[in-house]
Amino acid sequence: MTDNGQPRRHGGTPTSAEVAESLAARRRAERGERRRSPDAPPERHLDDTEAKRSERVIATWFIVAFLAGVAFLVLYWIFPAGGPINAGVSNKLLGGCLTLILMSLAIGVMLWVKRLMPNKEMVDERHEFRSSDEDRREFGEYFVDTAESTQITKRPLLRRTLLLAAAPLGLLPLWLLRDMGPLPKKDMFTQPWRKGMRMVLAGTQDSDSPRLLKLTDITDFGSAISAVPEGITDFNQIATAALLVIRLRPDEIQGTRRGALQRKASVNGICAFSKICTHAGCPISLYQQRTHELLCPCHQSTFDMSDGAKVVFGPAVRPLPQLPITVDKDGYLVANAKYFINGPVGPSFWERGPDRNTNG
Amino acid sequence: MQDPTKKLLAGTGKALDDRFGGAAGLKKQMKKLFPDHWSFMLGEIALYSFVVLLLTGVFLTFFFKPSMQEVVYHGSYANLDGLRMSEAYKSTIDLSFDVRGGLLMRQIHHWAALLFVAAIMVHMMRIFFTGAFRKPREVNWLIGITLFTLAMLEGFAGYTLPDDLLSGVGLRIFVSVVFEAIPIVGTYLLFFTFGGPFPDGLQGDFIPRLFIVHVLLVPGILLALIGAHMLIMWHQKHTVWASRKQTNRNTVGFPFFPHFIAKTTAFFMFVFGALALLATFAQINPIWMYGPYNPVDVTAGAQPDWYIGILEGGLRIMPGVESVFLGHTIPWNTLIPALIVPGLLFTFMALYPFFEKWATGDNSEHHVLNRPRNVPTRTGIGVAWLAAYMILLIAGGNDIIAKTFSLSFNTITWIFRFAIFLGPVIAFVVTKRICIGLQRKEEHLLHEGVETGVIKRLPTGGYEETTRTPSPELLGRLETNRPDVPEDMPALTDGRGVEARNGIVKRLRVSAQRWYTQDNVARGAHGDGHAEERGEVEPGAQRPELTGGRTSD
Ligand code: HEM
Ligand code: FES
Repeated sequence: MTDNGQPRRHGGTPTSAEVAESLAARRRAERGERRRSPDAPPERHLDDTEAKRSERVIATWFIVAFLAGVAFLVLYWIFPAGGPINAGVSNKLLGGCLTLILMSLAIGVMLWVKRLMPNKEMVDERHEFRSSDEDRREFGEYFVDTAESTQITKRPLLRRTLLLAAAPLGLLPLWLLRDMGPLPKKDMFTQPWRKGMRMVLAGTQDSDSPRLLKLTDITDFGSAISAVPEGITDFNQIATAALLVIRLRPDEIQGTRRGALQRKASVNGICAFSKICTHAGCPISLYQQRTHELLCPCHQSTFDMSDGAKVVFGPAVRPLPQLPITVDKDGYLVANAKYFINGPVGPSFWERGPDRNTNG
Repeated sequence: MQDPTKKLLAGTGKALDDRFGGAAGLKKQMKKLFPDHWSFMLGEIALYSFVVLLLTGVFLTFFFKPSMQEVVYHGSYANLDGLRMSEAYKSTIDLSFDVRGGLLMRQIHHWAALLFVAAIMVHMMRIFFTGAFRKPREVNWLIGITLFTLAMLEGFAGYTLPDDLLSGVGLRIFVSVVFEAIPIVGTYLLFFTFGGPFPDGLQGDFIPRLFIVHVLLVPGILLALIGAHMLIMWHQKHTVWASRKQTNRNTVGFPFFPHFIAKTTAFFMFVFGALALLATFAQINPIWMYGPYNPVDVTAGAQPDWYIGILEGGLRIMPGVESVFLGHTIPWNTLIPALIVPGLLFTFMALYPFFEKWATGDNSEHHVLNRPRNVPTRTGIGVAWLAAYMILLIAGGNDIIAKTFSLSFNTITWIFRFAIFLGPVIAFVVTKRICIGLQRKEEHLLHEGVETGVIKRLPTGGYEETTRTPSPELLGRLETNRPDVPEDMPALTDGRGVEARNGIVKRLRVSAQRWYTQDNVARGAHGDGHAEERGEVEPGAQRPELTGGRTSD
């Protein structure tokens, strides 16, 4: 940390060599000269033919930039946009021209600097930033005297009422921001499922013919189907309501306490779990039938879907909440409660507290 | 004055000076010297990417519609026909496919964002490892850290604007781990910031608010801070590399006008050109392939932009821990990796200059850069920090690693869980060793000269390798920047002998000071000619010029 091999001096006196150099520098400065750097490369002496040649080389680059610029202006009109193919072509042509303009200019100017501009490396003095003790003292005195002359030091009432006046003003912005949003109230706990609500295949909910799920639709043991409540298209609600519907053989559900709950909430081995990861809220998607493991693609939390969706790996803590379901008289899959077991769904937040079966 | 160009320039100058004055001051500024070294261009890359972001960003605002209003797409991209989507998503598709140059501007904007944050980080490393943050440049260091943080935020907000499936899932995670995870006020912050619950708020405020953050609020602050950063740099002048010609009392380089201004303009063109080249040939963020956001779907194998990787990595390797107490939940599994760890990493970096000043007691002005090897403890700390950052970043790609090396997530996660603790420690120890090794080598070089590989037979029958003296440049570099040994350090008193009062702090500080210097290789008598000066002073003895109230307390 010792710069330049000199012993550390904390604002101490300069060495005699430094004083001499500093005086010399001042004299040079007075004469309007500066010192050249000692071991700088030799100064360039331009001979005329060489300079001419450099000029031509640099000018060539500028002309390339000019031509590329003209090409850009023209190609813009010749190649229309509209659709990915046209956009792709237009992008290559316009981008290519722009690149060429900028790069040729860069090269031209760089060559100019290298070949024609003076290459004199110079040295300037650097002074310590700290002002002289005298200046500092004078400044301090001036500041204090002036401040005193305003009487602020002598009149505490003025000082205090000024601060008093400023305090509410400081809070004002916070007040003004209050209406930026509603209070959370119970919003974090609510979800739209109600007893008897039918399920719609996710993605068809806002088409003209939403696809309602029937018991007989879920024949496959390996698939995981996303479902949302019938009649709900609002994203805020879907974000809490989204389900992943899977089907297990009755003997695949484990005999644990969780398993027993899971079985009770299922119908014919069909189980409906919240699709929203309890870690950070990603919609979960990757289901492996062989292991009954459901993997969240975001941070690899893994849930055992044969044991109440308990976490077997990854950063999530809580099992995926499960929606009790059943079949109505027409054979449609419907919610059998207005709450999720182990709810509320989604990631944790301060007010959440222990698992509870809620719908708000 | 015959030449019309000259005449025009002179005329303009005169007219301006008639009205505003300032020729004298400007003359001086025009002559200001700029040092010539590649490492000074890192900050310029960051600056010019920012300029490119401003230029392309303004273009994008003319076409982008920050609205979550649902529309049905019937545009030029057949694959999305009939799909419902937000206006934000549709307008981004339209500006990519139906606006000439739109895709180009979007892709330049995105590449520039990646480069911007990367350049800031590398620039920051250069400042750190060379000690350029030392007095008097601490303020610029703090501004730099703030810029780094804001750049991440700005990039994330921009990345989210198109409202595609990929960024939407990213926003979902962000909302959970940054807002909902915060104890007590988290959900309130979320509702106030975005006007309701994810993903739309009550009035579809998510995208409009992110938009105003992205195009006005943060760029405004960035612009102001970058301006301050530049002004301070200009006023304090660049640091210089150690060499015979460069000292703490001078600046060496080329004048601002014409040399530096021409060179830096060329460099701006080059950075812009490189970004244009990338945008022409390397597709980035093809949002039409991800589809519009909806809360049910997810893209598998998705990766965020690189600078979000440290959050992503932390989230992935954090074990599942959460506590419920008095009916309230604290989700450590998201709180720690998303807020606490990055918060500590950045706060540590921000405060480091002050820690070092406290530890070394060095409160003098520095303009000559350190060679990293000469300050092994600092260099070790920096590499340890980088190791932590990198491990988190790489852990963010654990699914890719799992696939590439056919390892289980379990194995990989455990490797990273150990690595995040051991990696920085190992990095510190190894770096420090290497630095001290390099110091030895240089000490040897000064002692013995450069080995030539020529073996000479001595008259006595022995053999000896001939050496030659190092080149003047090398000698200059070695002589002008040597490692501090404990005897160099200022005595840790405030000059009034008060130190006895706070015993523990004082002792801590003394050992910290030793930690920074004790392993360093002292230069022999021939090294710099100051050895005798040093020899006279007993370690820890009062050295009047080192105390006297100017140490930091
Ligand atoms: C440091 C500064 C900035 C960063 C890091 C940044 C980053 C980004 C990123 C990553 C995107 C996503 C681009 C994509 O769709 O692939 C984006 C979009 C956007 N940015 Fe920026 N940006 C910055 C400054 C600005 C400024 C100053 C403006 C305008 C004044 C702006 C306007 C926009 C607009 C309108 C979009 C949405 C359109 C789109 O996604 O294509 N940005 N920004
Ligand atoms: S969101 Fe599912 S693991 Fe993180």
